[in-house]
Amino acid sequence: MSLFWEPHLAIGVAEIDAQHRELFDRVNGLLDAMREHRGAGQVGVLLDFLGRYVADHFQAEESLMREARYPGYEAHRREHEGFTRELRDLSRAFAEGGATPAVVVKLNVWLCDWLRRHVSDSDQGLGRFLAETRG
Amino acid sequence: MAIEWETRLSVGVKLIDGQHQELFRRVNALLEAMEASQGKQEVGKLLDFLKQYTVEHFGAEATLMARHRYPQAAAHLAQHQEFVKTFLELHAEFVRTGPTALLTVKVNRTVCSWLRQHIGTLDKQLGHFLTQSGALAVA
Repeated sequence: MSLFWEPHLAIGVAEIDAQHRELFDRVNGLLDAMREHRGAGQVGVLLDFLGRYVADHFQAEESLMREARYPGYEAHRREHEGFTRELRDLSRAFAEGGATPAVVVKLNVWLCDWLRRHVSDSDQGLGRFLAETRG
Repeated sequence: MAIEWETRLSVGVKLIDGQHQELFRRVNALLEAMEASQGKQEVGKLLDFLKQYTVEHFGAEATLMARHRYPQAAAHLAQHQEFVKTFLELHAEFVRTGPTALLTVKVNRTVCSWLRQHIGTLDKQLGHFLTQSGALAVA
């Protein structure tokens, strides 16, 4: 399963939209690397980078929400937190056991599903709020 | 994530092509280090290398332009200057934040796309001028 960017996923904030597109590219790059059975070292670097990029991106979104006094901030932040925790567990499982079927399936299904859903649902809510309040 | 040399990027002047290829190698080394989250010091060193090499390379191109009275020199040098400014901004961000993932992507997007675009247009025009005018029979 791959992630495809579609225009309806844009939330209307150029910086955040660019980060989402990058995120999609990175996830696809990671899945490709695993599909091609590239070495654990190479996949590990991609996974680790994805984790860091996600953390930076969430931080950027959260500071945007705080600045805008977004009422959905807490719930949104908790979603980020949950995702971060699961991704960290997954990275740990990969570091310990490599690309086991369980890890590969979880990355393929859960990661893509979560991102698609979060961007097309929770992030759209933020986008609408920003569009309304910023005029 | 890398910038790859392609034959269509050749400007037909050996000296410049060689420097462009070296530039690509240095950009890739920097991006690799940033992706693999090597330390700030290591990444800083690579960033400094790249800055120095870019300045030298721009200098070499400027010398060729001046020596052969290249009519489009002003526009070309303005793009170099613009790039140096962008690069310094990225460098300042690096000093502030370290090699974050966001910065890694920003470096990749800005530097790689600028290089491809600049080499594919202005540098090719310069190469064409230098080879057509017979300025550099063997460069």
